[in-house]
Amino acid sequence: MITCPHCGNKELEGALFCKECGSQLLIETNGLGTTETGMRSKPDQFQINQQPEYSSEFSYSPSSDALITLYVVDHNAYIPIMEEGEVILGRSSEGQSMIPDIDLRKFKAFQSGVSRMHAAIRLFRNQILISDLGSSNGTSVNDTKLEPYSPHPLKNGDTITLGRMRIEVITKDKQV
Amino acid sequence: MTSKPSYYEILGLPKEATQEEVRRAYRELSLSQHPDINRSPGANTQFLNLKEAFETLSNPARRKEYDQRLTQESDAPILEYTLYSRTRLPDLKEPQLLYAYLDYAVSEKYASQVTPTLNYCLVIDRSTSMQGERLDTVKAAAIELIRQSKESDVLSLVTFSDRAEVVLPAKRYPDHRSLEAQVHFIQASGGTEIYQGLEAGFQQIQWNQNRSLVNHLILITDGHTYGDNLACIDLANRAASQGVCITALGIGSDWNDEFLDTLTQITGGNTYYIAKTSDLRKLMQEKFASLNQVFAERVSLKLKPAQRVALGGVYRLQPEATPLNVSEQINLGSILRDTNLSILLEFIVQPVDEDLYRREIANGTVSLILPSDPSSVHRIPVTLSRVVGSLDKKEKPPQEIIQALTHITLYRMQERARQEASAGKIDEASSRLQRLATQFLSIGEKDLAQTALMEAERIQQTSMLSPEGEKAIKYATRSLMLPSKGKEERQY
Repeated sequence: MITCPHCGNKELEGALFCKECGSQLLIETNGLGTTETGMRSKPDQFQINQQPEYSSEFSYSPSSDALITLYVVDHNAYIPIMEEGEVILGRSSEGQSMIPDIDLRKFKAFQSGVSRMHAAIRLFRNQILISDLGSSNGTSVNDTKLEPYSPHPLKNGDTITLGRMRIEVITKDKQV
Repeated sequence: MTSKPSYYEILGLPKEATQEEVRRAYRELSLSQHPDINRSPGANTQFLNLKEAFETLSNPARRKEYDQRLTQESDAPILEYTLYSRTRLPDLKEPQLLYAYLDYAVSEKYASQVTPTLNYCLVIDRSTSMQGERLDTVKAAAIELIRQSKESDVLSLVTFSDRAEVVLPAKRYPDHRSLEAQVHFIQASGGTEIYQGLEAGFQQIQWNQNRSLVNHLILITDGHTYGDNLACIDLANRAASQGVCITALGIGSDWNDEFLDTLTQITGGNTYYIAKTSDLRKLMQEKFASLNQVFAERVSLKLKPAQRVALGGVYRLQPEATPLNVSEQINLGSILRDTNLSILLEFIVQPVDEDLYRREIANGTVSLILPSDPSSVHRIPVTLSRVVGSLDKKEKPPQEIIQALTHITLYRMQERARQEASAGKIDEASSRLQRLATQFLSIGEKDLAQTALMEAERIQQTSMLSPEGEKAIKYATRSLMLPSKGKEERQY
């Protein structure tokens, strides 16, 4: 028997995918904490379930290790993003298995009109891009509304608005 | 096939036999075939052949050369290719899954064959719900097909509501333009009795049904049929046994996809969901183009799993992606000149007590008819087996299999969500749809992810899935199973 690392479902030996959650079962840890998988995890694709390390981390002071920090203005909270790659911003809801990488639920995301999968931020070779994921209330950067699914570059000091939630972008070199 | 037995046949081995097996087979056979022991006439030549076979196959370079020559010299119209999810079957004490990917392509020698002659019938639903844009689009699409038909094609057109009318009886029409007026005159009224239409259409095809033709019925409908489902299935079985394939196009969301899927699958055909009427013409064009690409018809698989092996599922990946019912004889449809026929088989392999070097998985044949040379039925043996070995956790299955299973898994998930929804398990169905949405996102299918999320929310609110949503997810997931384009360079 193989146990699915994501949902704990048991599959027969030789199974390549979990019937319950659809995850690929070929993932092998190669010692560095990174995962080696088949076609599912090309660097430009996102793996929402598998990066819980982002989901609840936030603090009331900026961290100097972060590549970029998101500052949730109305709640005076800092969310660090430590690694390159893509993270999804959104909110979790009751009875839903999908948890975005950065869960804004505790910042009254629902009341602020944040969708469950609202936007994605991609960090890659010093470039920061944000795309709206077809959210209900849209994403703006410095009050300019983004087209869904079309990436927009971010720089230090930009203000992102998810629904009505305002978030400031602080990049590493500009941090104190 | 060449008349001379191949080296593999001489040694009694599958083409993928290991070096170890080549040596073993040679050792065993040489014991009984050595001229010192075997006194029968011709023993000498027989032994020399055996020696030659061994010397060629035991040398990797010479074997590769021989394999290539074997393929080139082969007169077989269809070349086959098999992949497995594992190179060796691990010797386990528990049941395990093994996947086999079978691929059938037209041999290059036959690739420049002429376009086949069609014997097709369009069976058009003209019930009241078709009135307006739907029927107008169907008529325009039908006229397009008629215009493109060759003079040698036998064509017919049947409409139905509560009963059927033959608008164009099956024959070869010298002037296709003169038929257009009759198609224009089709008016909508009445109910939907699919059996009426199918029966009349099947009859038209039967008059000219012939192994040298591509016999095909295209059903276009937008509604449910009541009370005649079983009669329809019965007719599909008759059609299948006579080599008539049925394709169904369902317009809008108010038709029974499970019923049409069953109906078409029996014949080796497929069902398509047309969400927007404007997609109909393109789809009919594509279907018509693929009929003109047919090289082999009535392709069917008869497979007998070996001891303690069961066939868990069969999926056709191309030319038309669809799950198939596991049965004694599985109709696979056609092999096209420009698209291989690829199928994926899932086997559940139970442990055995014996110590085996090679474990049999399944045996059978793929049979087919070439409309260009219909005098004989071609049979291609299917022998699936694996050398037993230890479990290699690092081994990665071939990309084709991973890709196919990525999408088959999604297809199965949506199927289960639908089953849960209709069984009233609202929370299960909803969370399954959400997990499905996550997977859709991970493969970049954002629109599908949105649809799945919307359905997940809808079922929470209304305890039901929307007929559009469930069909959209089902048929989109199914078409994901199509391998990414491009013909692979392969050694068959």
